[in-house]
Amino acid sequence: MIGFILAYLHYPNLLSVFIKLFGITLSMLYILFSLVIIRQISQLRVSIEVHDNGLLDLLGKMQLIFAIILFIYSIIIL
Amino acid sequence: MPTVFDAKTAQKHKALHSFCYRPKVRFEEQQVGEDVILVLRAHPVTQISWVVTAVLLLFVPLFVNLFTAPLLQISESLFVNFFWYASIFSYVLLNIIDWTFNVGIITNRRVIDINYNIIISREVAATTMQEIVDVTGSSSGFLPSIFNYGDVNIQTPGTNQNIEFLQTPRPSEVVAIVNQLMEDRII
Repeated sequence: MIGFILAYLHYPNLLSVFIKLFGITLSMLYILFSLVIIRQISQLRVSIEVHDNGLLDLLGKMQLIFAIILFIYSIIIL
Repeated sequence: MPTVFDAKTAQKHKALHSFCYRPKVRFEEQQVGEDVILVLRAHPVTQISWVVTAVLLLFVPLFVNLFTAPLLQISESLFVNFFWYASIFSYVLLNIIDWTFNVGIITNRRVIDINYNIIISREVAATTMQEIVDVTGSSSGFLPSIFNYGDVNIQTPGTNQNIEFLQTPRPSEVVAIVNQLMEDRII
């Protein structure tokens, strides 16, 4: 365990590892958040009718796509 | 007094759908035979603050990148920038949702205030026309005077919750419509 920590501390790109972990965690949370928003929009549509031609749904789904792109990016490219 | 509420009047949408007269909308708690007379949202002018904030936030990476460029690799810098812009997109979306679904509804029977706070809470307050004691509209300040928006306070008796429509367009018109609906219900 100590050896692992020491090796980790001597890793040349500590900042890069931190950014990768940070990116994965953050983008996962962002995906969850996007899913919640999509669900909230559909629930709110029940509470009051809005004639927006599905614009809010589209924006909600766009947000989810951004979140998925960020997640894939953080895993593969970072 | 001029007739402000006329059953034959066609539907009107003013101030970017923040003042909708006789709109063709339905809501969850709507009763049989209940007609929607007014749907109110905050005046679009009150939304300028978050629009300006979002526009200013768009330019932040231009300056931040100058300082982080020596520290980060290109792929990392791209990720940070993309995440930043996605966050701005979410900020705008949340504000649009907040504006769209925080509505005041006036029907021929009731006054309903739907307050929605993203993810956290959803609160619906309603009162019947018979329960309304007093309706007051207030508009004070530079922008409210120019763009004709303000608060409408609907008082109910006793411990019943008062209903407030904040920063709504044409507060005096709203008050007149509620007053006329109250008279109609009493008669």
